Amino acid sequence: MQLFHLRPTRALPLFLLLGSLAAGAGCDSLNAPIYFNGTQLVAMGGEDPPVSNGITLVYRNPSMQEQMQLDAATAAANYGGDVPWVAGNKIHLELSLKVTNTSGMDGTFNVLVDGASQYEKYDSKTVAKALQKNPNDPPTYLPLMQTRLQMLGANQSWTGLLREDDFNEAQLDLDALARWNDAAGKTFAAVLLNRSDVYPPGTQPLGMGLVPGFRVADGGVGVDPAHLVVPAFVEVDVNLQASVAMTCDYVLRVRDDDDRLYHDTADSQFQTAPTLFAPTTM
Amino acid sequence: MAALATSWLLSSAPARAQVTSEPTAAIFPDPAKFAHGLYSEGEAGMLWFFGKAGYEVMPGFAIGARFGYDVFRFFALQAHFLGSTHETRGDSVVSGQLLQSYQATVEGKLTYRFTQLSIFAEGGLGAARMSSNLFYALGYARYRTGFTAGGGAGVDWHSLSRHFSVGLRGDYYWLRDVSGSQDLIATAYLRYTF
Repeated sequence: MQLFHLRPTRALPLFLLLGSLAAGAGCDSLNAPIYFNGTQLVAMGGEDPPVSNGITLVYRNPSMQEQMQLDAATAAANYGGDVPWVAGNKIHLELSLKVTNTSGMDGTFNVLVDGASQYEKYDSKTVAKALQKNPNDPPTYLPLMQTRLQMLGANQSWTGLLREDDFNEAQLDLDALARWNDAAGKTFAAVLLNRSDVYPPGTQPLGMGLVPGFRVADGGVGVDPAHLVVPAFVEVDVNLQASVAMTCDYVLRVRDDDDRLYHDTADSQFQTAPTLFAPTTM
Repeated sequence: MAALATSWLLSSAPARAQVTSEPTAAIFPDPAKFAHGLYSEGEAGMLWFFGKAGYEVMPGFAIGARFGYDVFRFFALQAHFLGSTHETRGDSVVSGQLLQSYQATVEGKLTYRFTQLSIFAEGGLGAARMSSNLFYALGYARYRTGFTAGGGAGVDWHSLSRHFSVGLRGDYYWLRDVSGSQDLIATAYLRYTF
């Protein structure tokens, strides 16, 4: 049945028009991250613990169909843990930083970044306190990510990124400490300090490498995405260590593949109550 | 007598055409022979942001299309779609991020033709959409989509193949919902008139 008839010369612009609209709509979804501004950190210099604040991301609850898919994925994975709703293979994070030395003298800074998944929260300040044998011992901060100690001249600025692959590693580490604490808890510092996908020949991988079900990929170590789904952060905490007066501005970029962030009031908010990580021994 | 009659019959007066007016000068090319009516254009060029957005976002490659109809030889209505890609600059906290902008407008276009060449002016209004809330993070915009209006001018050169022409144009658009910002679009285009 012929629903309509258009001469080819008349149909062409219509097709071009529809093609342009479709291409525009397609392009619009290719690069559509969402940026969240953090509250500026202001350090007077020498604070201990470092000044900190963070960004909590609010996600929506899964729909009934999505929950069924999660349950099916959990059953299929069969590694003794849930497939998280806020998943690292669906939520991609990147943190942009700008540190400004507002003092009239040179100084050093380090930006320490902690976070929380839907299961576990890691706070390097709490861990440092737990590790102190004596109250007067200098604290040792072991964040999930950091920029490393750097020198910054008077009234100068530094900009930097903690990229998505940095977050992937941090999320792997936090998951190793959280859901797989029995395997990784005693070596938590090694989990944080070493990359999960790199280890000397003849040794065992750390972090997620200690997790049951972790697979060694051809030619190296990798996480089989069909098997392990690592939770993404629902909270990102930024700490500024500075030797002199400095400020830190930051913006969190979120790529939300499946539109899981909460933005429609018709949805309900996904409630999380992550457990605060505490090292078992040191 | 017979010879006289024959010579009279066989002889003829020289033929003379009757001239009633001066012949019309041939016009080449003849714009009347150019196709007009429904047309489409494909364009490529650059888009620059100005104002506050211009401080933060670098110029970027732009590609677009227009679909229109010549209501008269000198006036057309057209729809315009344009996408461009950019990178943020400077030392702001979001420097180095990629941003795409999309604009869709309806426009009116006035054309004045000098045989093969024509100049035109156009203007319209519509919507501009950013691929992310980057301008929100910078404090310049509340929403990703906003109102835009503006216009520009250009020059068109007909290829004499009836349907095709090429041209250059520049358009300047006000971005109402990106604080104190505008954009300039400069493109080269190929037009096909059906």
